[in-house]
Amino acid sequence: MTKILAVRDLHLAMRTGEKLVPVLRGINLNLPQGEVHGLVGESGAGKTMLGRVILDILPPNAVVTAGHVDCATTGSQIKSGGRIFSNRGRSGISLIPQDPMTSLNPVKKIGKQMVEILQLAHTGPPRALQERAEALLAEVRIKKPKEVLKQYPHHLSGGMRQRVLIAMAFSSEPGIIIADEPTTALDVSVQRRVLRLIRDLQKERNTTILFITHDLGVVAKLCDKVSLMHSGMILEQGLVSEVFHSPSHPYTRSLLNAIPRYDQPREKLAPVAEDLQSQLIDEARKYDQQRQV
Amino acid sequence: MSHWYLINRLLLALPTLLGAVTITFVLLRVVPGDPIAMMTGPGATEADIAQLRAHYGLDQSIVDQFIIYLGQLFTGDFGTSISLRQDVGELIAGRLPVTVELVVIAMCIAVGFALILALKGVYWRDRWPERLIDSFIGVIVAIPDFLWALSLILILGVAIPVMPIFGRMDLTISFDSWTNFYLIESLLRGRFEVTRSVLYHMVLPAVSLALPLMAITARVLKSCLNAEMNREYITLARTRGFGRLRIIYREALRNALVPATALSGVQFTFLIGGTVLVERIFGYPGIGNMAIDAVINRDLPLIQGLVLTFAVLFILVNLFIDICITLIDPRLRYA
Amino acid sequence: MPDGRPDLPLTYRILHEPRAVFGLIVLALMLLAAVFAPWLSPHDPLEQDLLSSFLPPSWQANGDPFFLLGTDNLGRDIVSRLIYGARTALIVALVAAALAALLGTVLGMLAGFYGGKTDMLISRAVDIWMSFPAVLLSIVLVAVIGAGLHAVIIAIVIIDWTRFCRVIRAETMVQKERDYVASAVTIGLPRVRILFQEIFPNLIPLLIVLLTLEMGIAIVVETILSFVGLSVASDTPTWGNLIQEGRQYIHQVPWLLGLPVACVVLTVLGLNALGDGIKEVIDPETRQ
Repeated sequence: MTKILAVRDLHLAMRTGEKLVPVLRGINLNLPQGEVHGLVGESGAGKTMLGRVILDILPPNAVVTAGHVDCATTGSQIKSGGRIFSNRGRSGISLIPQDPMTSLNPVKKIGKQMVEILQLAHTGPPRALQERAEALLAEVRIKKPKEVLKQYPHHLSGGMRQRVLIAMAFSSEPGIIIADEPTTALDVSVQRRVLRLIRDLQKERNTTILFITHDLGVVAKLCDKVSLMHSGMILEQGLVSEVFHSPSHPYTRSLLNAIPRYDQPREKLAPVAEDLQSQLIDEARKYDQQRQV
Repeated sequence: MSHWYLINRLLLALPTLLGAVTITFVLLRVVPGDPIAMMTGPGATEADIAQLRAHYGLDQSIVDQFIIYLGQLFTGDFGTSISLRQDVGELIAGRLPVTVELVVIAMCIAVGFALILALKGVYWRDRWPERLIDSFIGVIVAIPDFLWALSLILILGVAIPVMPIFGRMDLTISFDSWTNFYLIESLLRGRFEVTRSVLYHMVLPAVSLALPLMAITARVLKSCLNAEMNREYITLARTRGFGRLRIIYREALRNALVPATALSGVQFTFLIGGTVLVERIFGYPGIGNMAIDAVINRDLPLIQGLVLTFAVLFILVNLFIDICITLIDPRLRYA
Repeated sequence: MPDGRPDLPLTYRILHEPRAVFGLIVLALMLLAAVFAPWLSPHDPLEQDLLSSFLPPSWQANGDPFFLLGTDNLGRDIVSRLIYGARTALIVALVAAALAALLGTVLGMLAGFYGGKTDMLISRAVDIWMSFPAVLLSIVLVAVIGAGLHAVIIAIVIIDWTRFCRVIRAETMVQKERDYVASAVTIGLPRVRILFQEIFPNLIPLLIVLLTLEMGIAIVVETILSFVGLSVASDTPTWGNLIQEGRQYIHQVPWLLGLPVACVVLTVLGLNALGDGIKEVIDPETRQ
């Protein structure tokens, strides 16, 4: 299997004033072609930042302090001190964002936004691009694609907008997609349909997906492999079936216990223990000190 | 956009207009100075004064005067100027084009440069050009148009005398205008030497009026643009590889214009108020200059006509800004 | 940077904010000139000497060292007129700003605190007020009230109370939702006391900023009215009178216009910088 994405010993820090505050601490990640990889962690674990490094859209005060990200589909290498992009450029990677309500430009018609994206990778008469956009909308199971193209984002529901964004993400035929909690902002009933849509499109195209989420249930349904993150470190990594059945890290175990299940009494629902939380933060601090020495 | 929205807006403006008319009317009737006495001079007899008083309707009670005045307004009759002894409507119609041309040019200058400053400031965010633009805006914004006019006269009219500082055009050029819209009319009639002279004379007053508006608009637009640049759809555009320049111009700008226009709308009406002094300073023959003379001469009908004209201009500018916002933002179009 | 040190006393932080310091220096200079005008001025500002009219500043050719910055059309000493002009400007600025603040703040607090009909009435009045061209309104007002310093002050108060009213109303509405008001209500303090004893102290920092800015505006309005010839009799030395004279003789004696304009610009810049500086120290989040 061809390797699509390789993250090697990645360290990232945020500059606040004079200080560098570590955010990612030695991340290693390998994604072969066609794998759907779940990246799980609570908020603040650094999973969104990891996605942003890979997409190369870091905020200006974020610095890669060590390690590198190699992405085969864009031919790029992102490392400390800069980045190298090949001529394939950005079309090899795309993002499905978290909040469909704020992720479309509110003053442009859907059709215009899609054609602008298609123009990046394709040349051709506007008519052809328009038809291509229509076909893409049909693929994400939007019923009247021609009409939707003529509408503004505010005419569409959240679920519809997320479909449009998924169509946009797949439109450049990217080798890899970063999906950053793409269903968190949606209704439960819509969530399931959107997840199925992503899975189907992924299967047809054999796309590699890094699926960022805090929902282990979604991981179980969708992903091949999973990485669990806390305090900028990956605690456990492996096949979904193995990790779910025999978790090796206590944090994973406590997360799995925190999933509400109708077949078990509510008392069993245990939040992640506070002493475990502080233990993990201590470990991260120790790690920082060791690196400094 | 529906016409009903426009009609509704115009109807809402009516009470404001009526309020403005009433307040000026009442204010001016308690003026201690007697306009008739000022007009006739010491030689007039009691009978002459009484006759003139009756002629201008000043012998009746304030309430009666007000009702008569309102009735006349509805028939388009603004009364007769006491100091100039001409029909107020005609007087204002002759001077209004002068002010309108000046105001439109000043607003274009203000908006144009505000756009440039805001866009450059956002493009160079957190680097020295942004700080330079911020301090430039900070100084400009602190000084009102009146002081800009005087400073510009001193710098570009006296110290380095490159600009004309008085009047609307060279008096050596004769131009018999039909409409008093010198700029447009001279262009249409092919009298380009007139256009040149009028534009040349317009530079300093228009810039004085434009500077404070430019600074405020630039500041507001810049902070709206910066807020817009932090939004999700901008992040998404970055993942697709659109350049920073393109993202600012083609993604963020139009979205930022909506709140920026709404927030700086009032400032556009301030510019109209500013014409009163700026026209005075530059001897520019518009309605602002005329208003000061009217007040000094206690010319009641003329003051009233001018206040009404200003109020109408204010309302039109506000309406224009509202229309602009609905055109920019598709979300408002069907609301 | 003092920004990040909210623990330091307010005066210390203000004295370390360059803009505020610049403003304070300008204000101090004005205060000095205003208070000590009779001792500082080399001449009586009204003393005419037609033989030495239009003298240039003393360092220029034909300059008289006796008249440091030259004389005007009636041979009056410009330095002395500028110094006495500062006195007029400061009186107008202080009195007019204070009165406008008083009127606007009380109405704004009432509107923001009581809401409902009170708020609607006051806000409506503010809206109508704002729809007048301020300059024209002030000119009409002074024409109505008659010339004189008191007329200028009344005109400024009548026009500019709205500036205070709008901002104070909004801030009162914010403060009203705070916990300390809720606890005062629970204790059972009367509403008027809550408004003036509990909420008002929290409005003071904002009020100081507004006052500083309003002083700058008042000075400009006074200058404008003098310039138009409506403010005070032309023998009272004000910067506006000087500007008006200067405008007439601009080609013969440009410094006659330039000096008072420079005074007004410097004062307005200083007061603005002071207001902005204090605002930044009080509330770093509102910075542009």
